[in-house]
Amino acid sequence: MLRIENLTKRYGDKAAVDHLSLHIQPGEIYGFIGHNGAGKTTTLKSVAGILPYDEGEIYIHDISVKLSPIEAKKIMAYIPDNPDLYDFMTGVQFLNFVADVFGVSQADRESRILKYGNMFELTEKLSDPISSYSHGMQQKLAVMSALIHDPKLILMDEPFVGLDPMAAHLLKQTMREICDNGGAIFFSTHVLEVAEKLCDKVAIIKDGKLIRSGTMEEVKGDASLEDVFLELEAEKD
Amino acid sequence: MLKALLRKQLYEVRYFYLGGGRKNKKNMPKNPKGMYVLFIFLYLIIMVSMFFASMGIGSALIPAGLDWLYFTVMNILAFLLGIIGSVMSTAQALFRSKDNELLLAMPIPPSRIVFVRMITVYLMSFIYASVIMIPAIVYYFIAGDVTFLSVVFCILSMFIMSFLITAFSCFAGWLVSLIATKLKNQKIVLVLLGVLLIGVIYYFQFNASRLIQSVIANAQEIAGALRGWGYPLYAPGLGMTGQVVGFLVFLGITAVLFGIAYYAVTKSFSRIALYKAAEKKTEFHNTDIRSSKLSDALFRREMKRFMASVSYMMNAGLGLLFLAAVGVLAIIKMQDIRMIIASIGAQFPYADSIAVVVGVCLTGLLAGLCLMASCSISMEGKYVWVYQSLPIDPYQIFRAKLALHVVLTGVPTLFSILVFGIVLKVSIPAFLCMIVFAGMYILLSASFGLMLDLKKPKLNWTNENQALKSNVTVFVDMLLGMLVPCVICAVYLLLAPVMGPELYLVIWIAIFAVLTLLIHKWLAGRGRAIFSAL
Repeated sequence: MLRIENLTKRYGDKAAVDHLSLHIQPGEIYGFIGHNGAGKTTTLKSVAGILPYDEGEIYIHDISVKLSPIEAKKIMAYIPDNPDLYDFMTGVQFLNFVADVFGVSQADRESRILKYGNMFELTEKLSDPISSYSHGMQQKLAVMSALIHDPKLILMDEPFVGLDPMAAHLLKQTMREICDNGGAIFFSTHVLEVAEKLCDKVAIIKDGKLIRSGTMEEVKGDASLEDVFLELEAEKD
Repeated sequence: MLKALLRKQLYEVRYFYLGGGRKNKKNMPKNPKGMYVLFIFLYLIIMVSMFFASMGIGSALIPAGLDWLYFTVMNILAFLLGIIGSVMSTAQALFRSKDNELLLAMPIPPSRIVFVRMITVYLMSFIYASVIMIPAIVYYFIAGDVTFLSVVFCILSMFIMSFLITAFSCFAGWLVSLIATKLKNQKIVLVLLGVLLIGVIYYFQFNASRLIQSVIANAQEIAGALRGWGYPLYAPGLGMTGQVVGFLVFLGITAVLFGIAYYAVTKSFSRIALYKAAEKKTEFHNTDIRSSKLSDALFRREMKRFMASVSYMMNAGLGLLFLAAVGVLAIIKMQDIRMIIASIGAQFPYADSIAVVVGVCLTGLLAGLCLMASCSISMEGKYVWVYQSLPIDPYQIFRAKLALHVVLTGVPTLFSILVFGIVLKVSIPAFLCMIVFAGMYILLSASFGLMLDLKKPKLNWTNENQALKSNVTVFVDMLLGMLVPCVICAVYLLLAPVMGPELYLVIWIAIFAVLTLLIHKWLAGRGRAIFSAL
């Protein structure tokens, strides 16, 4: 589903991501953890086709993000850590806009908007301006807009920040459901307990370099993910 | 604390104009010096033209011993220009910065925040005021009876005048913002207030040359009348000739007005800055879910972005008002225009042909004031990630932005040209040429503006003014957009005896088409890549 080969992104002389390689299979929820500034967001943005990278390649369903960014974006969705949605639109206008961009049929968009709107208890508010939404509501709307075209791959940067416990629970369920239906999710998080419970695989990044990746069991063994993470952080220092 | 706030303001200016420092080379303009050189060059050109204007007024007043009246006229002009330049953006600069909550959450008295922001307004006022006052003072130093006190007071008066402009701008910005918090349809009211204000200012501006001529012609009578009742009005002028009392009165009035404005803004700063209008709640219906074509969705999105911001509408869309107004004015003055052309035609055989070119170039000049495209990339600001993350070819986005510009500008332009066609009794071929010429010019200036904005976008603004007003691309686009029709007009004055207006316009249409194609080639290639990497 997602193949990252030797991804390198530099800001000036500093490599924010340094020869990172990662493969994600359909059906997998892949967690991406690391300290602040480790290169998680840079990696996710590069995969999303937002950030041009210096070396390496990224393939989504064998489509190169560098060579065919539009085709690659058609089958994925990206939710940033702090989504700045169009606050000059209402919720439903934004969803219509995103659905129009992806060419989602009237029937499909109706069923998905109502399904996820009801799930996240946002349906009632969809005709209100986004400027009146709380941070959590905007996060829910961003999730809804990401799901509206039934993407094969979803990239999420800290998706649980700002969500209430119920919404976070529903999002976790939805993530599982998407992957059970053959999709894949690549998300970053600082909440190691969530990663431990939710992810099939996990990758740990430090200073732009991938220091460990694999199934949850391979990465943490008998210890907790938190212990392993802290140990790895200390080791390299 | 004040130092820290001033430093923060300087960082903001530095970041905005020079990028994020050495480590953030991505945001660093490749050639910031070039931008400064261009700015200074344009500034000097305006100053030189103002020097000749000062000479015209001063040569009539100074030798007659009315140097104080000369300064009064120049001060009024500087004041009006300063107000035009800063009043529309003052409310935004004072109250609608993105860091309001951050600053108010800290133990900083609002008065300090206001003070620092008023300094920003002051700098803008100074730039506008000095462009008139420096040439006026220089001319006085050449032609007037200069004393040590007049030199000192002239220089100081330039700084004091900028304080006076700042006081008025801040007061107007405060009043408009305060009214807006009390009203339901804020945007409509703000736009109407803005239009009203612009109407008043431009009324004076358009009548300025007539008023100046009248002042020159009736200098003694006006001087006598002013001496009777208008002391506060001419005190600054007196001061600049070296009179101590006049200077002190000017200083005192300015200090009081600045103090009042500062007090008013400070008193209600928190309330206005943190004010959030109650959003209208609308019930959701399934019928709100509607699909449309991608091009329509993009166009609608661009339109919503434009209509969502009063500053965007007022700063970038001002030309739309003028375009409509010139059409209406041509209808009202139809007989006068025909008479003028007939009387010129009696002495100059090509007056009808020239009128066609002047008419279409006038609409072109006003269309050059429409700047929707030249700040449309910068106005994306924090939203740019949405477009970038979606599977949309950037060129489609450019087309939507250009479509918005062309549609909004095209409607009033068409109206004006239709009116000119009727008023000037233009032949059908000439009329068609006028329409195509205007349409192509609008497309070219929009495409050029978009290209400039793509080359030097300002995405990290803290208030919209930075993208709308402190944006070199907007300035350059506006200047060229107005200059090109003037050049086209001037050239035709020479060519009228050998070429009909139709052929002349067709030649320009061809030139515009070629230039537009070249720009679109760039947009479709390099432009795409730049947008993706923003």
